[in-house]
Amino acid sequence: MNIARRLMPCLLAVLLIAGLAGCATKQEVTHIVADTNAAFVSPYLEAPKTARKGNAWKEPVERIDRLIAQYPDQKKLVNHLRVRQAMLLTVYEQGNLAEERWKAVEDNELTTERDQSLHACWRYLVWWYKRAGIFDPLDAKEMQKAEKALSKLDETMKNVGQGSDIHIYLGTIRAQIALKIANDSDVSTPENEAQVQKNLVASLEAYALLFDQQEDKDWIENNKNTDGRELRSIKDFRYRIWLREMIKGYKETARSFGMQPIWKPDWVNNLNVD
Amino acid sequence: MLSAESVGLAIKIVNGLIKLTKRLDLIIAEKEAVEEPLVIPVPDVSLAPTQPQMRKALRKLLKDTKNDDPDPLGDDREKILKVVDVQPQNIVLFDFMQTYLPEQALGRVLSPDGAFMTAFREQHPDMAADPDVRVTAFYVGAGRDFRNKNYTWRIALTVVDVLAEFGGENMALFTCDERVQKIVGAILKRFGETDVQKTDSTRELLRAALRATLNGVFNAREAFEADSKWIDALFDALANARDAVPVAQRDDFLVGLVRGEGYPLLVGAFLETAAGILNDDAAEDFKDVAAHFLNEIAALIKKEPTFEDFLQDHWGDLLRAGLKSLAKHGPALIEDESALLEKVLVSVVGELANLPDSKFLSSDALVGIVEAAVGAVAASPELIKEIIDQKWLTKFIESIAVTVAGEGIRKTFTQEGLESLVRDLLGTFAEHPELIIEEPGLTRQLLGGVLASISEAKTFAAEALASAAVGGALIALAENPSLIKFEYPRLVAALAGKIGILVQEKKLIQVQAVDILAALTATPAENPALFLDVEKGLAAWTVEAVVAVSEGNHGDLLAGLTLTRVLHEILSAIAQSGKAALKNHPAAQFAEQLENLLEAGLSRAEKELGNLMGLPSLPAVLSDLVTAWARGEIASLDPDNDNFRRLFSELAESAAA
Repeated sequence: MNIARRLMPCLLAVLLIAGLAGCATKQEVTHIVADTNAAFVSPYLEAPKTARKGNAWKEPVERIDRLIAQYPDQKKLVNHLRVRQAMLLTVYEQGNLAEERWKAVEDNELTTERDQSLHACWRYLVWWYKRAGIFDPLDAKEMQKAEKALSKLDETMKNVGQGSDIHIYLGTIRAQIALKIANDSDVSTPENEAQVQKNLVASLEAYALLFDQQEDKDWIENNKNTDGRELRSIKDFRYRIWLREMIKGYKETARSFGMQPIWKPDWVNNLNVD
Repeated sequence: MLSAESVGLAIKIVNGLIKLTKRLDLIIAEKEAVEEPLVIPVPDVSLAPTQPQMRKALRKLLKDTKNDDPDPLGDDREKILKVVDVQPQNIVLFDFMQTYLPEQALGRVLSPDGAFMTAFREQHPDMAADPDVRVTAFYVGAGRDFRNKNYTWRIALTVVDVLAEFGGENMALFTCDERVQKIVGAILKRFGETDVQKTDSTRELLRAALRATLNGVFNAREAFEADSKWIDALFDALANARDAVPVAQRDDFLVGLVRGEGYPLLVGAFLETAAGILNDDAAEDFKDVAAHFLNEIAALIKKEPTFEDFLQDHWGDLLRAGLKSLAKHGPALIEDESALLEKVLVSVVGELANLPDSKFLSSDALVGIVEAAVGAVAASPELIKEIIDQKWLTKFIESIAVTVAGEGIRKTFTQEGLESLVRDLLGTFAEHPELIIEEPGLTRQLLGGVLASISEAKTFAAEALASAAVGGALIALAENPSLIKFEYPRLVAALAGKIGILVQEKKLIQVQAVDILAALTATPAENPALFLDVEKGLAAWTVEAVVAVSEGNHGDLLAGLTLTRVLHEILSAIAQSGKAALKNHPAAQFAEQLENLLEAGLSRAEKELGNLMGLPSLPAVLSDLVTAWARGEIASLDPDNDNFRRLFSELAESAAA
């Protein structure tokens, strides 16, 4: 009892010091996570279409490199941070740097479905983030790459939870690439035209089915984004806008081909997005 | 002022704390990196005009500039004409669009996140103004983590690991008992050598082993001595067994063993049995036996993967039973190269693997099986080959497993009740191995038979009756093993069933039934040839007659314990003179005539109570009456008949004297 009483002040002091000193890595990772997240979204802090991708990626990328150099043996920590770093570079269209970081990731050290999926598709994501913003139609080689991307995304999506964030994200990238393929296709023969129409309908249907067929559908049908009380969560709001924009994009492309397909599911066909 | 001792203690604690906080810091940092959301915007998609749009636009251009001079399209006019009408190629069409119609070439932009931000700003300006809220909209959650252990679990394990490491270095902080320090040190030395931070399985192993061993240590702390040769032998055997399996499977194998329920009991048994009773010299031999046994288990698991769970739970029980047998039968079991104990253990586990019903066997039953089998081997070492012979062991183990697995039996009896019966039964076999050397299927005959016939009676008193019947039968068998020859178990089963039905029909109360069964099981031993061979129905008829009388006009006299005593005495009388009775009274009318005799006897007793006799002498008087009747000395069964009256008076006076 006496020993314990005498030791108590020392132990408390040590605990305080150990506690402060002991969470240095955690604090650094917290900063990195916050910085990378802010950098990812930085272009969207400006009004749309005025957004420009700047150099917001540089500081977080360097910070991650420094931390990784400090803890090379902490494999899980290192590899998940690498994914974060590589994805940031991908979004900022830093192709070579992104590729270098993706290649450094040891996939057997990744443990979450998000990071495993991103790593599985990284070659196509790097390509797509760079290519998506370019108007030029896809050439034959790019068409092949885009088709391969669709296959890889389909394969990867099978292994993630239905309706999870990563599922919807990968599905959205897939729908974008499929739209670009259709938009840039040769429709000079009736056979080609029929195939493009079929692909458009199938891709949009697959995308629509990622969402809740009751709540999300009702929301889009009734255009409830004008009613703030209906906001379930900001993320859902974002996903619903995505879906509506994608339906619009697909229908517009079909119209520009002079097609009048029957869209699926029925509610998409009946939806007036103009 | 702090003493040097206190300062030393403080430094050790500080070291431990710093180590712990560092490890926790890394784990929490990893958690952040793995689990925190990632903000990912989707790209804007720039879509060129579609092929029909470009062809239409370029056709219009050709038409609008047809008469211009000079021609603004120059040499390109022919090329455009060709690509528009003859061989449309999107890349070429787009090049011409960029050159001559650059504004239309821009096509359109699909901007999902741009549209989102616009709508968000318009519809929810307050929220959109907050950068933190905006960021959350872009979150992509980490989703499932494919590892089995979440971070809370890992953090808890890390604390345990560090404490274990800390404890290994500073065991004196936890306990001043040197014996405990030695044992914990022993397990840490063998299991803690690998880096417990690296693999989940090793960490689990250490945690499970520590917890189980410490519990075992503390439970048995009174029994063991400072010298821990036996505990060393156990841990060495485990370490040897681990080293014998392929490197990739070592941790899994050992984790399985240590996680099984048998391990804590095993440690306790080692400390209690080995330290208290066994000679330290035997520890080394036992280590070899245990290591061989564990290697056999590993091989068996490889061959029969479905058997793995059972073995993980019960290997400790089997080894524990081996140790107990060793304590009982001496080091001869393990001394030479062909160690008997090892042979029994390996054979038992081989048998269990082949038996689908073995999953119903409890830890106690398994211990009992090994002890009984080792007992049989120890009693007749010359019969080792025969006993270990597959058929003997198969019959013995199957007899137990099939009995406890019976569906009707499991519905009627509680798990605890069944286990208790099996434990008692196997305990008797271990004490009297001669019973199973001759008849390895005895469990099925006796326990299985009794339980089945009582189950059929569907009485609420099933467990008490079974316990009385089996308990009584075991005593009788132990005293007179030759009873087995006379199909004694079958008789006990039949009588137990009959008594069960009487209870179910409310002709007997539970207490009476239990006493009667105890009496019934003991009686055949007095004259086994009569009860079990000459006329197998004799005991049942006697019970039938006595119970029938107890329900008749004079039944009040046979209330409570008197009924049991009367039955016991009458059965003894029948045992003595049953042969004569069968000669003088046809078997078909035996029960009826005996009932009439007892009815007449009770009628007389009612009149003579308080005159010639008291109630305590009733069993003896009725018993003597039955003996006289058996010998043919009673011609009339009329209670008012002069001869009968005279005989009864004589018997009553004689009993009173």
